[in-house]
Amino acid sequence: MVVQTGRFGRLEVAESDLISISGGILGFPEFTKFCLVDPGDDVLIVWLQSLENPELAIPLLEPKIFKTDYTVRLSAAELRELRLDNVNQSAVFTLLTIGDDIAQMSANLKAPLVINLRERVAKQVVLQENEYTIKHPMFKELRTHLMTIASQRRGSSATDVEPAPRESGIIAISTIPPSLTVKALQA
Amino acid sequence: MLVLTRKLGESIAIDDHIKIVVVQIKGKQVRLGIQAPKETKIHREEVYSAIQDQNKQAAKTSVAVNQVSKVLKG
Repeated sequence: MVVQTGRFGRLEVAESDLISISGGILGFPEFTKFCLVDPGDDVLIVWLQSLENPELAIPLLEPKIFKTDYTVRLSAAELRELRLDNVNQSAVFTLLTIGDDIAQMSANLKAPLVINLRERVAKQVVLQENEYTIKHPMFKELRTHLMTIASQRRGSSATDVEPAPRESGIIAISTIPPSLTVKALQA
Repeated sequence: MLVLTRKLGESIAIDDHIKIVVVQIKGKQVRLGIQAPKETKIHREEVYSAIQDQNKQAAKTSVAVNQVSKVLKG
Protein backbone atom coordinates (compact mmCIF):
# COMPACT_ATOMS: atom_id res chain seq x y z
CA MET A 1 0.00 0.00 0.00
CA VAL A 2 1.08 3.59 -0.67
CA VAL A 3 0.62 6.19 2.05
CA GLN A 4 1.33 9.87 2.12
CA THR A 5 3.02 11.00 5.35
CA GLY A 6 3.71 14.42 6.76
CA ARG A 7 7.30 13.77 7.76
CA PHE A 8 8.56 11.26 5.21
CA GLY A 9 6.51 12.01 2.13
CA ARG A 10 5.18 9.11 0.08
CA LEU A 11 5.87 5.66 1.49
CA GLU A 12 5.27 2.30 -0.08
CA VAL A 13 4.56 -0.23 2.65
CA ALA A 14 4.57 -3.95 2.00
CA GLU A 15 1.99 -6.05 3.85
CA SER A 16 4.88 -7.85 5.57
CA ASP A 17 6.15 -4.60 7.14
CA LEU A 18 2.84 -3.47 8.57
CA ILE A 19 2.50 -3.53 12.35
CA SER A 20 -0.91 -3.82 14.03
CA ILE A 21 -1.41 -2.23 17.42
CA SER A 22 -4.88 -3.27 18.48
CA GLY A 23 -6.36 -0.50 20.59
CA GLY A 24 -3.62 1.85 19.40
CA ILE A 25 -1.05 3.51 21.60
CA LEU A 26 -2.24 5.34 24.71
CA GLY A 27 -3.86 8.64 23.76
CA PHE A 28 -4.41 7.60 20.11
CA PRO A 29 -6.81 4.64 20.29
CA GLU A 30 -8.25 5.25 16.81
CA PHE A 31 -5.04 4.46 14.90
CA THR A 32 -3.97 0.84 14.76
CA LYS A 33 -1.85 0.38 11.63
CA PHE A 34 1.78 1.45 11.65
CA CYS A 35 5.14 0.94 10.01
CA LEU A 36 8.68 1.74 11.13
CA VAL A 37 10.67 4.31 9.20
CA ASP A 38 14.44 4.72 9.24
CA PRO A 39 15.29 8.31 8.25
CA GLY A 40 18.70 7.04 7.09
CA ASP A 41 20.70 9.47 9.23
CA ASP A 42 22.55 6.89 11.34
CA VAL A 43 21.52 8.23 14.75
CA LEU A 44 19.58 5.04 15.61
CA ILE A 45 16.27 6.85 16.10
CA VAL A 46 13.50 5.25 14.05
CA TRP A 47 9.92 6.46 13.65
CA LEU A 48 6.62 4.77 14.34
CA GLN A 49 4.53 6.11 11.47
CA SER A 50 0.75 5.77 11.45
CA LEU A 51 -0.63 4.55 8.12
CA GLU A 52 -4.03 6.05 8.92
CA ASN A 53 -2.95 9.48 10.12
CA PRO A 54 -0.17 11.03 8.00
CA GLU A 55 0.74 13.47 10.77
CA LEU A 56 1.12 10.84 13.50
CA ALA A 57 4.77 9.80 13.78
CA ILE A 58 6.61 9.12 17.03
CA PRO A 59 10.38 8.76 17.40
CA LEU A 60 11.57 5.47 18.91
CA LEU A 61 14.87 4.25 20.30
CA GLU A 62 16.04 0.89 21.56
CA PRO A 63 16.42 1.30 25.34
CA LYS A 64 19.50 -0.94 25.61
CA ILE A 65 21.45 1.87 23.89
CA PHE A 66 21.13 4.13 26.93
CA LYS A 67 20.07 1.72 29.68
CA THR A 68 21.82 -1.61 29.41
CA ASP A 69 20.01 -3.29 32.32
CA TYR A 70 16.50 -2.43 31.08
CA THR A 71 14.04 -5.30 31.41
CA VAL A 72 10.43 -5.54 30.30
CA ARG A 73 8.37 -7.90 32.44
CA LEU A 74 5.06 -8.88 30.86
CA SER A 75 1.99 -10.40 32.50
CA ALA A 76 0.34 -13.51 31.12
CA ALA A 77 -2.45 -11.32 29.71
CA GLU A 78 0.03 -9.08 27.90
CA LEU A 79 1.90 -12.06 26.48
CA ARG A 80 -1.42 -13.45 25.24
CA GLU A 81 -2.41 -10.15 23.69
CA LEU A 82 0.95 -9.94 21.93
CA ARG A 83 0.65 -13.62 20.91
CA LEU A 84 4.15 -14.08 22.30
CA ASP A 85 4.70 -17.74 23.05
CA ASN A 86 8.42 -17.12 22.83
CA VAL A 87 9.54 -13.84 24.47
CA ASN A 88 12.71 -13.89 22.38
CA GLN A 89 10.83 -13.14 19.17
CA SER A 90 10.13 -9.60 20.31
CA ALA A 91 11.72 -6.19 19.92
CA VAL A 92 11.41 -3.38 22.44
CA PHE A 93 11.48 0.34 21.70
CA THR A 94 10.97 3.34 23.94
CA LEU A 95 8.95 6.32 22.73
CA LEU A 96 10.96 9.54 22.66
CA THR A 97 9.83 13.05 23.36
CA ILE A 98 11.95 15.55 21.46
CA GLY A 99 11.12 19.16 22.19
CA ASP A 100 12.54 22.33 20.68
CA ASP A 101 15.62 21.92 22.87
CA ILE A 102 16.89 18.67 21.37
CA ALA A 103 19.39 18.10 24.19
CA GLN A 104 16.44 17.75 26.58
CA MET A 105 15.03 14.71 24.74
CA SER A 106 13.63 11.95 26.94
CA ALA A 107 12.50 8.35 26.67
CA ASN A 108 9.42 6.78 28.22
CA LEU A 109 10.80 3.80 30.16
CA LYS A 110 7.50 3.21 31.97
CA ALA A 111 5.54 2.38 28.82
CA PRO A 112 7.66 0.84 26.03
CA LEU A 113 6.42 -0.52 22.73
CA VAL A 114 6.81 -4.29 22.44
CA ILE A 115 6.65 -5.77 18.94
CA ASN A 116 6.09 -9.43 18.21
CA LEU A 117 8.43 -9.71 15.23
CA ARG A 118 6.91 -12.92 13.91
CA GLU A 119 3.22 -11.93 14.13
CA ARG A 120 3.84 -8.21 13.54
CA VAL A 121 1.57 -7.15 16.35
CA ALA A 122 2.63 -4.63 18.96
CA LYS A 123 1.43 -3.11 22.19
CA GLN A 124 2.46 -0.24 24.39
CA VAL A 125 2.75 -1.93 27.78
CA VAL A 126 2.75 -0.20 31.15
CA LEU A 127 5.42 -1.61 33.44
CA GLN A 128 5.03 -2.07 37.18
CA GLU A 129 8.51 -0.87 38.13
CA ASN A 130 8.32 2.49 39.88
CA GLU A 131 11.92 3.36 39.07
CA TYR A 132 11.03 3.58 35.37
CA THR A 133 9.85 7.10 34.59
CA ILE A 134 7.90 8.37 31.60
CA LYS A 135 10.47 11.12 31.03
CA HIS A 136 13.94 9.60 31.32
CA PRO A 137 16.64 11.97 29.96
CA MET A 138 19.01 10.13 27.61
CA PHE A 139 20.53 12.65 25.19
CA LYS A 140 24.07 12.38 26.64
CA GLU A 141 24.05 8.58 26.60
CA LEU A 142 22.83 8.41 23.00
CA ARG A 143 25.41 10.99 21.89
CA THR A 144 28.23 9.08 23.62
CA HIS A 145 27.05 5.85 22.02
CA LEU A 146 27.04 7.46 18.55
CA MET A 147 30.53 8.86 19.11
CA THR A 148 31.79 5.41 20.12
CA ILE A 149 30.32 3.84 16.97
CA ALA A 150 31.83 6.59 14.83
CA SER A 151 35.30 6.16 16.31
CA GLN A 152 35.11 2.38 15.95
CA ARG A 153 34.15 2.82 12.31
CA ARG A 154 37.07 5.17 11.75
CA GLY A 155 39.42 2.75 13.48
CA SER A 156 38.38 -0.22 11.38
CA SER A 157 38.39 1.36 7.93
CA ALA A 158 41.57 2.37 6.16
CA THR A 159 40.08 5.49 4.66
CA ASP A 160 38.65 8.34 6.63
CA VAL A 161 35.53 8.81 4.57
CA GLU A 162 32.12 9.09 6.18
CA PRO A 163 29.58 6.48 5.04
CA ALA A 164 27.48 7.69 2.14
CA PRO A 165 24.18 9.25 3.23
CA ARG A 166 21.26 6.87 2.90
CA GLU A 167 17.72 7.56 1.87
CA SER A 168 14.93 7.24 4.39
CA GLY A 169 12.94 4.06 4.06
CA ILE A 170 10.60 1.54 5.60
CA ILE A 171 12.27 -0.90 7.97
CA ALA A 172 11.62 -4.51 7.02
CA ILE A 173 10.35 -6.23 10.16
CA SER A 174 12.25 -9.39 9.22
CA THR A 175 15.55 -7.50 9.59
CA ILE A 176 14.93 -6.32 13.17
CA PRO A 177 16.95 -8.36 15.66
CA PRO A 178 15.11 -9.53 18.81
CA SER A 179 15.81 -7.31 21.82
CA LEU A 180 16.07 -10.12 24.37
CA THR A 181 14.88 -7.74 27.09
CA VAL A 182 11.40 -9.19 27.51
CA LYS A 183 10.74 -11.52 30.43
CA ALA A 184 7.54 -13.19 31.58
CA LEU A 185 6.29 -12.19 35.01
CA GLN A 186 6.29 -15.30 37.17
CA ALA A 187 3.03 -16.17 38.88
CA MET B 1 -20.41 -0.72 38.03
CA LEU B 2 -20.77 -2.81 41.14
CA VAL B 3 -20.74 -0.64 44.27
CA LEU B 4 -20.06 -2.15 47.70
CA THR B 5 -19.89 -0.57 51.15
CA ARG B 6 -16.95 -1.65 53.33
CA LYS B 7 -15.82 -0.68 56.83
CA LEU B 8 -12.24 -0.19 58.02
CA GLY B 9 -10.44 -3.51 58.02
CA GLU B 10 -13.00 -5.18 55.76
CA SER B 11 -12.06 -6.44 52.35
CA ILE B 12 -13.37 -7.63 49.03
CA ALA B 13 -12.20 -10.62 47.06
CA ILE B 14 -11.92 -10.66 43.27
CA ASP B 15 -11.75 -14.14 41.79
CA ASP B 16 -9.85 -16.48 44.05
CA HIS B 17 -6.58 -14.65 44.00
CA ILE B 18 -7.13 -10.94 44.54
CA LYS B 19 -7.99 -9.34 47.86
CA ILE B 20 -8.44 -5.63 48.52
CA VAL B 21 -8.48 -4.42 52.13
CA VAL B 22 -9.48 -1.00 53.48
CA VAL B 23 -6.40 -0.27 55.60
CA GLN B 24 -7.07 3.29 56.69
CA ILE B 25 -9.72 5.98 56.28
CA LYS B 26 -8.62 9.55 56.94
CA GLY B 27 -10.88 12.41 55.85
CA LYS B 28 -11.16 12.17 52.07
CA GLN B 29 -8.36 9.62 51.77
CA VAL B 30 -8.69 5.87 51.77
CA ARG B 31 -5.67 3.58 51.99
CA LEU B 32 -6.13 0.26 50.30
CA GLY B 33 -4.06 -2.87 50.66
CA ILE B 34 -3.98 -5.12 47.63
CA GLN B 35 -3.03 -8.78 47.67
CA ALA B 36 -2.64 -10.23 44.21
CA PRO B 37 -0.49 -12.77 42.35
CA LYS B 38 2.88 -11.36 41.33
CA GLU B 39 1.91 -11.36 37.68
CA THR B 40 -1.04 -9.00 38.20
CA LYS B 41 -0.29 -5.45 37.14
CA ILE B 42 -1.67 -2.77 39.44
CA HIS B 43 -1.46 0.92 38.56
CA ARG B 44 -2.92 4.14 39.84
CA GLU B 45 -5.27 5.41 37.12
CA GLU B 46 -3.18 8.61 36.81
CA VAL B 47 -0.29 6.58 35.36
CA TYR B 48 -2.36 5.99 32.22
CA SER B 49 -3.33 9.62 31.75
CA ALA B 50 0.30 10.69 32.30
CA ILE B 51 1.40 8.25 29.57
CA GLN B 52 -1.34 9.50 27.24
CA ASP B 53 -0.12 13.08 27.74
CA GLN B 54 3.49 12.01 27.19
CA ASN B 55 2.56 10.18 23.95
CA LYS B 56 0.80 13.29 22.71
CA GLN B 57 3.92 15.32 23.42
CA ALA B 58 6.08 12.70 21.70
CA ALA B 59 3.82 12.88 18.62
CA LYS B 60 4.09 16.65 18.58
CA THR B 61 7.83 16.66 17.84
CA SER B 62 8.13 19.64 15.55
CA VAL B 63 11.89 19.72 14.95
CA ALA B 64 13.06 18.29 11.65
CA VAL B 65 14.75 14.89 11.57
CA ASN B 66 17.96 16.34 10.10
CA GLN B 67 18.08 18.91 12.90
CA VAL B 68 17.96 16.10 15.48
CA SER B 69 20.75 14.17 13.76
CA LYS B 70 22.87 17.32 13.43
CA VAL B 71 22.68 18.01 17.16
CA LEU B 72 23.32 14.36 18.05
CA LYS B 73 26.32 14.09 15.75
CA GLY B 74 27.68 17.54 16.55
